[in-house]
Amino acid sequence: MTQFVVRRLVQSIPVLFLITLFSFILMYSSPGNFINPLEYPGEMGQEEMEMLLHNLGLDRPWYVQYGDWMWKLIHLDLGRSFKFRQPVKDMIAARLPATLELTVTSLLLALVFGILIGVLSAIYRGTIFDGISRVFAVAGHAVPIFWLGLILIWIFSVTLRWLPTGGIKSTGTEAWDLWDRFKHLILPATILSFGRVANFSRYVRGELLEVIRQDYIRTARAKGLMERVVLMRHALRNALIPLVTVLGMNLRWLFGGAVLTETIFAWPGMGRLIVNGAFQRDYPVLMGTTLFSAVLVIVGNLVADIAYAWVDPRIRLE
Amino acid sequence: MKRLGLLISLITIVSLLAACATPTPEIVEKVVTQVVKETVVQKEVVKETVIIEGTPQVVEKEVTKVVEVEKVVTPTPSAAGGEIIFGVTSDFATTIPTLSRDSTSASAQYLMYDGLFRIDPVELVPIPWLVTDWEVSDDQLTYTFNLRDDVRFHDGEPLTAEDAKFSIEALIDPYNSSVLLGRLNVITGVEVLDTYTFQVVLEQPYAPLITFLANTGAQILPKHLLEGEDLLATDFLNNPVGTGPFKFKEWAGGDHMTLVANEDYFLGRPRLDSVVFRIVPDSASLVAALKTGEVDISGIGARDIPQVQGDPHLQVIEMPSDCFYTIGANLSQERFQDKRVRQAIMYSLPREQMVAELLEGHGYVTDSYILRHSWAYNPDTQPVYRQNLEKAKELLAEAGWVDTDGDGVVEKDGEPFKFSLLSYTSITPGYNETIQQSLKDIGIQMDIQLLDWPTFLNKAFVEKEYDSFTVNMCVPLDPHNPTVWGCGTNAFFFCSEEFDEMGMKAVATTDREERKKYYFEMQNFLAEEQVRFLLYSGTTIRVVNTRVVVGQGSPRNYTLASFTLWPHEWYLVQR
Amino acid sequence: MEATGQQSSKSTSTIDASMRPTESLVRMTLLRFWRDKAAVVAMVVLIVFALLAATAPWLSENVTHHEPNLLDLSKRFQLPSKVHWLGTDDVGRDVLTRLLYGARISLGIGLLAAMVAISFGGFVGAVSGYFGGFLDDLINAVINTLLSVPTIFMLILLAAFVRPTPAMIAVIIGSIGWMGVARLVRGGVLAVKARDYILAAQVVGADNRRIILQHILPNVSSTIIVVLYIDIAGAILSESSLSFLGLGVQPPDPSWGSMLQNSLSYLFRAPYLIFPPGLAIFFTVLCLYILGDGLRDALDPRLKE
Repeated sequence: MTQFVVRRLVQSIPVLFLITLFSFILMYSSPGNFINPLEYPGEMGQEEMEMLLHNLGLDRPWYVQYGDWMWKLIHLDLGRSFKFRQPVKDMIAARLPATLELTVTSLLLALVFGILIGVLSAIYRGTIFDGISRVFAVAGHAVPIFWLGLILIWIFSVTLRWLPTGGIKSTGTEAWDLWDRFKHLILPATILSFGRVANFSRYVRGELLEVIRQDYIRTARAKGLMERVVLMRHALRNALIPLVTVLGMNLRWLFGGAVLTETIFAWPGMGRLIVNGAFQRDYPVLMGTTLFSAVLVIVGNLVADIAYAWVDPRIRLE
Repeated sequence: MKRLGLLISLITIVSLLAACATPTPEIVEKVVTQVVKETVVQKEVVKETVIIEGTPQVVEKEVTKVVEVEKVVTPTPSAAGGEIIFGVTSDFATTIPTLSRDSTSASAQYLMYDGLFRIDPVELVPIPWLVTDWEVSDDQLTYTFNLRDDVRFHDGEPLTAEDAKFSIEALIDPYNSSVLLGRLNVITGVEVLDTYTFQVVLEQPYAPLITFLANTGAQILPKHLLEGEDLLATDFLNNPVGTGPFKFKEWAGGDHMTLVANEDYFLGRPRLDSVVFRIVPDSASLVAALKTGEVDISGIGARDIPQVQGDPHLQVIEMPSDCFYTIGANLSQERFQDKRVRQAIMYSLPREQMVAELLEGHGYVTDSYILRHSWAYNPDTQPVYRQNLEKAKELLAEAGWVDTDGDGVVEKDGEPFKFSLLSYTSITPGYNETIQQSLKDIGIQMDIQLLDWPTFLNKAFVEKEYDSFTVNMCVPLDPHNPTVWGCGTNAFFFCSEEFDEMGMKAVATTDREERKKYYFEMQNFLAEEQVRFLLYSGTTIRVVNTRVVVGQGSPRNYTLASFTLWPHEWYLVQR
Repeated sequence: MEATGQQSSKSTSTIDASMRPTESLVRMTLLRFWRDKAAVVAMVVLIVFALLAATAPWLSENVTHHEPNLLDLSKRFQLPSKVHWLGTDDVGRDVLTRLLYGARISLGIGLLAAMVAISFGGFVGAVSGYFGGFLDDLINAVINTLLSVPTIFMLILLAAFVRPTPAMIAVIIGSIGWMGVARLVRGGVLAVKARDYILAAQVVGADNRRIILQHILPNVSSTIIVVLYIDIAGAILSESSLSFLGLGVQPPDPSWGSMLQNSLSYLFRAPYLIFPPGLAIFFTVLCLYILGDGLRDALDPRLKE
């Protein structure tokens, strides 16, 4: 096992290199660059522009800039954002907790509801409840998230005034005022969880149904145990293990997948950092976040593969 | 509009009286009134001629109208204290004025720093602020400034001429690529004469010097904290120190920035305790936040006005905008080189209707390239282009464009008139489509290409690869604008020596009346030539919660904090 | 999972059957599908939507009597009425007609994007899974590379390259989605590859192409079919997300995503505008998911009642 892990990590290094190279080339070949909005006629003269280009290092060929970035990276320096002139490392560190708060909460919510719905559908399979709960689970995923978000803001914030319209906490309140944090978190986290509830519940239902057919379950039933107990103790435990693999694959999403929700709810997270960076062509930010995301994917895949192997002995870790 | 004008006059008179008393600003208890809009239901009996079964008859109808009435109210001030929350849609780029390029950053800096001069929000002229008085040498090349001696930075250090010298030098240092570099590089040197006196030396006479020193980007930095630092990579960014009415407290990246009152502000402690800027990226969410009171002040677009109008807690403040909605045609293309074609395009556009509908009436149609609230504006710019489809078609035909094959598109020499319009994603919805429809009505086929902002700018202004583009063009108050119109520097291949000459003559003299003559001519020239289609100008709109008193809007509205009351005078109302 | 051991003995017989799809198997699948009422309803709804989309020009002429792009600034924000069944939008265009034309574009993009993702992803996944070894490693590396770059980042930059016609938008969405398909197909191929009869075929000397086409693909086809519907659904949602970011279908052409994004700016002023495109997307995606579920249940030979 250790051999496997080490080998995979070593194999990841060229992949990481490839990722950063690909991203760099993508950024540089796209039309538009950071300077453009500043060149807007009347705003900047030729002299200032050239100086700015030079300060940002943009007047060098792309491979030189790439080399420079890699050199800084080896010294654990991700450079400074073009727009904010702050170290990219600090910017990511500042926004990461916010995103995690949102995505982890929504993941937990999705797990809870997903498992609940999945189990209930499996038990009552074929009945109306099964049908309705499946529809319900999918419905949340079928709705464009920003549409639902704004409608809920309209209902719960503007009309009912129960919840705030956005942000991570109210200005003037302390960060540990949990009730305030909860009020801000509940709406975006719930909406975000819908997308995953569908997948989780279907997955759990499918796995449960499969496990039900197995002989040892039949044996347990033959012994006269109640179906519910049978399910809970034997089936559920087995069926849930593969869920770990699903979590592994979701790792990347945890850190940057909530862009639309973050925009609607003014949530100061990573997703918005990436979007704004992309629109403004803020290369250091984009490279920093891409690298971060890449590391997460690699770790996530590793976790997922290990979990697969642990669960299914047929698949040998080569 | 009239009542607003009266209001402004009232405030002007009072502040002029106060200003005449002393050359430096003091805490002036301005008579501040607020204009509150109320909706009132009016019932009217109206006589209408209706055709019933072929015969016209006069019929009385009762019509119910919901009308908005402006009431002038003097709110009662509360005890000092409280907090105002601004809503902005993007994060702050920088807290250092020298480096500032966007209005969000400038808004926060306006509260944290002071400048040598400041633009008076009502009179729109620079008034001395940190400077008490100054002298200009006979050759107009040397300015000697005297500073106030009672100003301190937020860390207690006094403001001296050294700081002024440091700040000005930072502005003209090409390394910092300040926005003001091109406008202030006539400065050859700054000399400190004594603690509170310094001299600025120019290489040629320069009328707009003081105006640019009043820009928010020229506000004074603390030399003792920034000397020797690389402004582009300093920690000062996260802990800015200025002399302004509000001190920096914290900045949670992407979320909010908090400023607290500066107890030792040279004009007196601000009435408010703190000011917060909250970042709300989505415009619909921002409107929601305004409605719930989570945000007190924000800028919105014209189309959002109906969404906040009915709300009794929100007040809509409108100010003349510095921007025009324009279309630039690629004049290197032959078909656009014929003046008649360009005029035809202008005649096809329903500009009044666009202002009435797309801007909800908040704007004005103009044929002049100079802002209406500028002293150089020519109200009789000729020719005037009212929508006239017939005339437009006539002009096209004269230029040789006729629909020979009946497909709805005019042709010339076998070439149909088709071109593409480059635009960007955040433009007013409906703007491009309306233009497209209008051109279709005169036989020109235009298709729309939307790009995101950097790509758009790249294509339009750098690569200059386009048939036409639309852009919201914002201009500085001073009518001298060679980058936009000058030969070789503008983006749409316009070159007229005549025009450039007039421009040079206009700026060589400081006599305003003479300059006006030139600018009037230039406006008529461009209106006739239509090298860039100026459609209309909108207004800048702010929404202010009625619990907050900041005065009225100012045409100098570059920052969100630009109101007729200075920031240290803002207060909350007790209701 | 201990179940797997038992399963292979059962599955051999099923696989023999699926090696040569017989009529009875097809009929069995259809019957199973028919029993899933929800899926059947979903299919009918989708067919209706598709028909409406396809006949949009005819409908706009004879039923609604409006053009989709004809704007009239004097008729803005009209509530639903006899003349405009769903009202007019912010520049006076008829909402219903735009919805119908928008269906063509949105459904079209969904379909095309899914096709792009599946054909390319399926091919790559099959090749990677079947041949294994260095090719597999290489393709995995490429896929991992692409999956590591944040989606939004890629979307925004890719969109800057091309002129955003609906076809190009579909291609962009497809090029973000093919990696997932490749992974899935690869997994399915790996599982099938391990089965005895494949080894047998290889021993016998059947050439690779034949094996892939005749044996492997049919077995992963059920995976692919289900993924197809989910991909179409995902593509339709992606189209609306792209419009939200400002990168979607160009004006004045309507698409559900661009109509939705436009209507949200007027949320407090004309709330009726947000429902037609939002509900259209919602029901379409919902039905696609239910249909996909139903198909998967019907095709899965292991789910015997």
